[in-house]
Amino acid sequence: MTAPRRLLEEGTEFERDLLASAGLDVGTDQGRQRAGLAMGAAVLSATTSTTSAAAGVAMGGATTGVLVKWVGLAVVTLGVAGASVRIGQTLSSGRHPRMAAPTAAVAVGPQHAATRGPGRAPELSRDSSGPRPDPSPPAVFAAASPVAVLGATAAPSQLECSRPKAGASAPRPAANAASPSNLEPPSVNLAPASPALPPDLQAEVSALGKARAALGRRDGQTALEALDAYEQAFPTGLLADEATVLRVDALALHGAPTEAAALGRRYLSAHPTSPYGTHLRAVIDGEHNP
Amino acid sequence: MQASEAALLAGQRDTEGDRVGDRGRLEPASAIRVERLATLAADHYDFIWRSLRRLGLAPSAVDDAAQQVFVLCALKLDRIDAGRERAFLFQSALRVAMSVRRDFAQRREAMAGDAMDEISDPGPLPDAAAEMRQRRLILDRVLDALPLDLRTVFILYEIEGLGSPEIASMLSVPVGTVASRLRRAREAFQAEAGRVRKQLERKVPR
Repeated sequence: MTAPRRLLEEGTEFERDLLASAGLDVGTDQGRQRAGLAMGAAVLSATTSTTSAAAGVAMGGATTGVLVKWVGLAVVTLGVAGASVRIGQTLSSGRHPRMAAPTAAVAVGPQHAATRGPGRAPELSRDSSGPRPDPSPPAVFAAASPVAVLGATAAPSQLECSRPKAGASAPRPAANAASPSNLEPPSVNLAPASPALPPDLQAEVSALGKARAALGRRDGQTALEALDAYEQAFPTGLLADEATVLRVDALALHGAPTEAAALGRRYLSAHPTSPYGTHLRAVIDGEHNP
Repeated sequence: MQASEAALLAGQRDTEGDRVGDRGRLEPASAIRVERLATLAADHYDFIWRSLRRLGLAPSAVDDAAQQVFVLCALKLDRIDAGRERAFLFQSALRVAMSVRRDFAQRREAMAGDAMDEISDPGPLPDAAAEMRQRRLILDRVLDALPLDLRTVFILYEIEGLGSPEIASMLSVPVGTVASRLRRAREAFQAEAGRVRKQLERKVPR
């Protein structure tokens, strides 16, 4: 089968003009910054909404704020040309993981950012001799793993497993970690941003978190009730796939393996390339008891 | 899904990968995760932003929608197979776009009557940017005439320049379906573009 020539080549002049105009349409720096900040907030917010017990242990408010900026800045460093110079000016402080590689931010100029093709990772200069990143962001990140939030059926207490044991790797107390001396974010002039999940998505994450937490306690009944509530509140939710996978687990846990397998098969039939395929097939085959 | 992910789903957390080292530095697993997140945003933000626009979202709604897409990406990062990132992001964009379009359906209907007036009035002394904006308005008007499944394939092939196999993989449909949709999409696009052009010529005599 031969692919047709593109209209950009063989269309009328009018058609070519229209199509060419779209190729030059790109988002704004402010939009990028907001997205970057929100990505950081996603990790944070998901944790606090689903693992309140762990969250209180895992982070202090100041630390979480830094995480948001930390992840946001990572994106900004890579993707927002306009901020790169300002970030570059802060690199010498060397307090931030991204800041340890001055050439990285400086190198990401408009042309570089614009011409980087999809799927090609930016070439970050990793200076192994540079200052060590501050410990507190990873501590939060560890507890806030997206997998722990939406997929893992670990009990909230298990979330602490990824944190260093007291006395073993000696995490800094939150107050210390949040001190300006080592966590003050670089003076990047970020546009007004919304470092929080969109309200609807936050509500979805929270609702699913209840189901996940119940599964972690091996309480299938409560998980099913939470999933019913989720689906009633968000009939076209953005996390519907996750809700379905959790329901399969909940049904299997609740002594309804036939229903679980049927739902799993329906889902796999509709989503044959789903990333949850392996897990669902294991549940269907009875190899995995959630 | 990787085996390790199944294990995670089963509640067996990979406690080694997320540790903070004795010297307080970020261990490789977390560092890789953060860098992957940042790289995804850097590499695909424009693609997603543009796709959301061409899927019919108003400029005022696109930043928020793009933010939602990348937030979903952050939430599900560990489940996105290497090499499937763009597919994941685009599928999320599709879902978000449909959600936003549903929410704004009534508003869009209310705005529809003014669309052609806006297109036909290029304003005084249009410069290159204004002309480009004008073309995009027309393009979106033409794309609005395409059903979503055809529009999606058209955008990916004709605007983003992807090949049919990648589109098929991205949308989880056979390559033959992509070819069929593309053929119908091109016919619909060309027919609508012709109609709009005639309308414009009537409104703005040359």
